[in-house]
Amino acid sequence: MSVATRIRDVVSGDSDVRTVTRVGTIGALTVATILVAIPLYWMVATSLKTSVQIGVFPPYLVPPTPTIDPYVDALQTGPWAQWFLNTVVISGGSTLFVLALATPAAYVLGRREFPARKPIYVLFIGILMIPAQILLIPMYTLFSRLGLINTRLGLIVAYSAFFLGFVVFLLHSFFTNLPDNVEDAARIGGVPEWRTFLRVILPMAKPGIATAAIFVFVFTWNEFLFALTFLQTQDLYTISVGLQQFQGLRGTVVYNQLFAMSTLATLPLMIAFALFSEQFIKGMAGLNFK
Amino acid sequence: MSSRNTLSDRIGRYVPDRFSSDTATEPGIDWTPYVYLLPALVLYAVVLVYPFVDTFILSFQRVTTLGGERRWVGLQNYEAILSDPIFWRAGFNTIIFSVGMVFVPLVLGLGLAVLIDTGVSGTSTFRSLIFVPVIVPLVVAGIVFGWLLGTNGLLNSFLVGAGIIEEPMRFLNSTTWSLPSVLLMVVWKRTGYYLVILLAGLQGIPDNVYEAAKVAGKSRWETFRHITLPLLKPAILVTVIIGIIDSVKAFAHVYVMTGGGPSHSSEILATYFYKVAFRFFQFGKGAAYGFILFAIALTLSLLVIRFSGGSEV
Repeated sequence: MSVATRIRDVVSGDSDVRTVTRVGTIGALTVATILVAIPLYWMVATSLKTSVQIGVFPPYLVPPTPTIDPYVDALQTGPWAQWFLNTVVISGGSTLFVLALATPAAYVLGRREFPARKPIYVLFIGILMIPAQILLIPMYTLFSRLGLINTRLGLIVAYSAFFLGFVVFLLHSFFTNLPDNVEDAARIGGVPEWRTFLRVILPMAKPGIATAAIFVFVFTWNEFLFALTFLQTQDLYTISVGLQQFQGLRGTVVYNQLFAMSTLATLPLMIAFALFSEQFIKGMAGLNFK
Repeated sequence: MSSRNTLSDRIGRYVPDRFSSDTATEPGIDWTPYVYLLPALVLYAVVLVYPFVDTFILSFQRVTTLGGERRWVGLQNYEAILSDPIFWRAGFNTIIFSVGMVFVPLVLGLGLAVLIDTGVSGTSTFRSLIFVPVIVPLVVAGIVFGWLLGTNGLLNSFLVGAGIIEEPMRFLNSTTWSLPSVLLMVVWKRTGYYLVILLAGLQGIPDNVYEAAKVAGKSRWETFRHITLPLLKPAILVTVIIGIIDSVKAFAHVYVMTGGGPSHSSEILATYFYKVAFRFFQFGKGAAYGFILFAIALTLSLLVIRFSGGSEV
């Protein structure tokens, strides 16, 4: 609330108008939120119905006899557990790998003066302009020559490369904003540079690193095109590829199972978002301004 | 080692020590920054730069098997794509897709951002709730919307129940409705994204600007039109550029829901690219296609930046 409106409220006392505005605003936002929630509600509701109940038209708005059977059946009959594991390994691996490479790079680009600093930074940012999929064909050739096609490691390497520019960009602004005299103090104290980086700078940059980690994890968790192209054996599918293939194979018969697994695929992201929503939203909003 | 370094560093200010690794006093190049950059640069060069250059070369060649023999064919690949009617169909669909992906969420996001920024208490919770679809996996969103729009789905049930249509519609199998159906999902997924960008922009406008407008007796609409919007231009520009680049890249949105069909009615540039390269195995043509995509994304972004007169981005 701006100071002006607050003062105006106190002076003129037109609280009736304010109440109307308030109710209208909350009302409009509530409607918007309900519209946003419907698809997610429908996903969960359908996942709790039996196969017979999902075929009924008009559909039951609330599952008449909620059951977790679709979850159990799917996990017992399909390779879903393996697919979830693959996704965790690939997303987690990519997050660690890209952070290990991008953090030192962003640190020197943000805090050190050296001749090639600007062109190298521009080079990293330049990746963000290239639609990754145009590299699909030569990357496929390269990776098959290196034996990385149809492996989890291959996807980790590919994702790390894609998110390199993004993470450098994100952390660069973070490092730049740390106080100037940190290294000087350490230097005068006689601490070598690499220790200053590990022991002093890294802990100070923790919030930035955490934000980058959440982003990379969520984006790689959701990635589809490269996973679809690089992973050919069913055992290696990520959850996104698994869901899409399962939809194609089984049709509408087991939609409740498909939705049960969709719910499970979304759940970790929801938990991460519930825990870190502020970092997430701030990161997303601030991303493009720095 | 660390104790020696410590000592030499302490003394190093005054007495150059040739054995010390970071001797700022010694003239010449300090290699330390490059050591920090090396791993990232190697990955960048091998996995991105090399394939990028290779795509460019490949776009002038014909290859039958991946990694197999390549033959120079000049501009044939580019000509083949530009004379392919389905490419133009996909291009036209991408323009529609782009408008739906950029402007609809922009208008909705702006409206919601203004509502949240009014300062009525409790509104920031709505920001988080409306943001949720942004993190939902695209494949999940595609599957759920496919089901919502299906013949025994929620939307048909509502439309039939309300008497708007008599028979359930097959939205995804209709050449008229397939693309709008995908866009419905896209709008659902993007509005929250634009909302947070625009809201951050709104909150960055200092209160005293509004106070000045109030003192000058400007109406709410005038304030919004002549003060808020111009000050919000950088944020709006960001959403437009991201939207354009993303709409050229968009793939899973369409692939999961309609696969580009029926009869290419929802085909967009990226889905057709995938078919050319990995279903028809025309890798040279696919590479040329990729470069055309790249050129389009780059040109459009530069145009947007230029016409909005902004160097802010």
